[in-house]
Amino acid sequence: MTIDEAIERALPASFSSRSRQYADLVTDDFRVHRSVFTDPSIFDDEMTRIFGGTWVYMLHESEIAAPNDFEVRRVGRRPVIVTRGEDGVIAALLNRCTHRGTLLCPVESRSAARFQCAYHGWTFTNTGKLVGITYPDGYRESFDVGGHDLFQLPRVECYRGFVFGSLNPEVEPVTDWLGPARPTFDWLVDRFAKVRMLKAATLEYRGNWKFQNDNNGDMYHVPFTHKSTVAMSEARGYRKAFDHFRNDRGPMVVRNFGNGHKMIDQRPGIQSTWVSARPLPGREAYADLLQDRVGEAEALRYLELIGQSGVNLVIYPNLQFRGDRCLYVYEPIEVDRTRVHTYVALLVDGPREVNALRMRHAEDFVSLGNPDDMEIFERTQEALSTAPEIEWVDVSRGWGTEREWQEPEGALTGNVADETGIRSGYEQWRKLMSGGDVSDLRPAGIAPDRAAPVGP
Amino acid sequence: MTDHVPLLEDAPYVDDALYDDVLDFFRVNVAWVGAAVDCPSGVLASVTREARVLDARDYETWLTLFAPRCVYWVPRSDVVGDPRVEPSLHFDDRRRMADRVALLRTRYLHAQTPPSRTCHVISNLECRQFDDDVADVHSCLTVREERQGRTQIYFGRQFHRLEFRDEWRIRYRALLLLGRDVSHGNTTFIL
Repeated sequence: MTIDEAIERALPASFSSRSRQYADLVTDDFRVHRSVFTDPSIFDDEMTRIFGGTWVYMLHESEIAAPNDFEVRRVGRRPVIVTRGEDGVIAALLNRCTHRGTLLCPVESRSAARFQCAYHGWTFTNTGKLVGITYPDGYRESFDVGGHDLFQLPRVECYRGFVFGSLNPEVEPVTDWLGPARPTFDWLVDRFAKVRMLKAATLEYRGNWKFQNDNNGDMYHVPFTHKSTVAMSEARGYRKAFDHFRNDRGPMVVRNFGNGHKMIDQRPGIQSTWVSARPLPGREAYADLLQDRVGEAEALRYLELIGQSGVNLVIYPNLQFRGDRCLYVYEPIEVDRTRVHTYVALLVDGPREVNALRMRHAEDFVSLGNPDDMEIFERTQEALSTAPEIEWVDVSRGWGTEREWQEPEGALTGNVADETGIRSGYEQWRKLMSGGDVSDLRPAGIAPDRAAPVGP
Repeated sequence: MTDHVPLLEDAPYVDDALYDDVLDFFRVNVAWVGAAVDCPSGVLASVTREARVLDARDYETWLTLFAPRCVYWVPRSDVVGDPRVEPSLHFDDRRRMADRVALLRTRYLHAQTPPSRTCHVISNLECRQFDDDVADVHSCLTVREERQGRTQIYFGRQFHRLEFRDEWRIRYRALLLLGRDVSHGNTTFIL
């Protein structure tokens, strides 16, 4: 393909012809076209076809634990208020007044049974119903009040405390969508019953959202991107960082679960997450306190809840588990700008010593390791955006070799440093971007690029 | 005072008593609206010296400005609570501060290749309380960072608790960034 053809390809044509073109941007031998990371119009379509077409993680139910609690979030770029009604039912409402289009709720979280628009005072319940039009006499008799309820995401499901929303009314149930990723999801949740999810640092980089998604299923980059972490550990006389990963031969694996989901399974390489956790402020004092209080065996059981857990599970498109309900949630802002919201779960009724250490663990790699990842994402965005002569990136490592095998439970498993998991994301990207009828996500007659769903 | 822990040694000291003391220090200072008190110029100069040393990227000297059982705390939330049940942006004891310095000194820190140039501007310097061997100092901090043709600016109000041991040293430094609860980019240089 020539450069001119590539540019032509990236230009908006009709919706259906673009669908066919999207299928060509991920090749059968697992190359991905640079425009997938650099083209703003492709990004706009992702916001509808991916972040509107499948399940998107919104929040943990503990963040809106009481009736009338709410949190403001984004589903892709769409602003959403996730509410818990008086009856306890969770709903996701587009944060847009149906009168003149104003952002209805500017505060991040609080408790409210109703939302009143600051512009002209229209009032909605936290289930989205329009219950108050100010000075109503000014409206004609036939004015459709019910048609001005807030737009509600047609599908919201809570799976084991994790609340997902979708703009696609036809999307499959969350349990089906998780598929073979579900047992790993359950394994993580089963490690401690009751949690309260807390916001931790939010990082931002100038690069496409898929870089972070790919990276969280990528062990290949670790010895290179994170060489500073390894060198620091050596200089400080600590246990070698990533000592369970010396090369690409070993018992650890990556898995492609389908539907874009993937994981790195480090459990076969890690004897103890507590032992391999970096020295945290308070490590010695709190481990001693806990041992004195509950005994050595019980203490160790709890201390294993500090650290990475050995599982990096990515639920496509926007959720990563890194350890025991330490989350990264990706928020796409622009084609070349992404936020990564990090969270850490407080173990409710868990030992206070363990929680104190979990808080310090949540700050550790985020500030000491992730900046190197983000620097690499920015360098990648820079070169992909400015060197059109080389059109493709390659994610084929491991494909077509005997290192990859199909497990009976449904996962495609590969060597830990292979791009088997990353390919899950691009298979799903191709499927969502090129296939499926998404026309029901928007009223007819509105251009697909900038369409925002309006009231039912 | 001669019985203190050596300055660069990592004897762990973070426990409940320390958390309680740091939290008390923070709460007293964040609520302070009283009049400033006089103090020797050397007290205030310890805060501007820290800024100067960071701009020089002399991180080894930066560590020596701190007392042995020190904390460098950058809270994350709008309403700051107990760091034992709430994550911060940074809650560093001396060991983690020294880790940060070691990381900055490796040749492989991509996030600082090339390194940032910074100007830490200290203003509104005031002393809240002072006696012979302890002082709480308030200041406003502006950090302008230049890296690869891009500029970032960070603003915040910070509190230093200084203690006198052969010279004035920083026992606690708490930095309350204006943007503490929103996203931030690469801050691997030290704020």
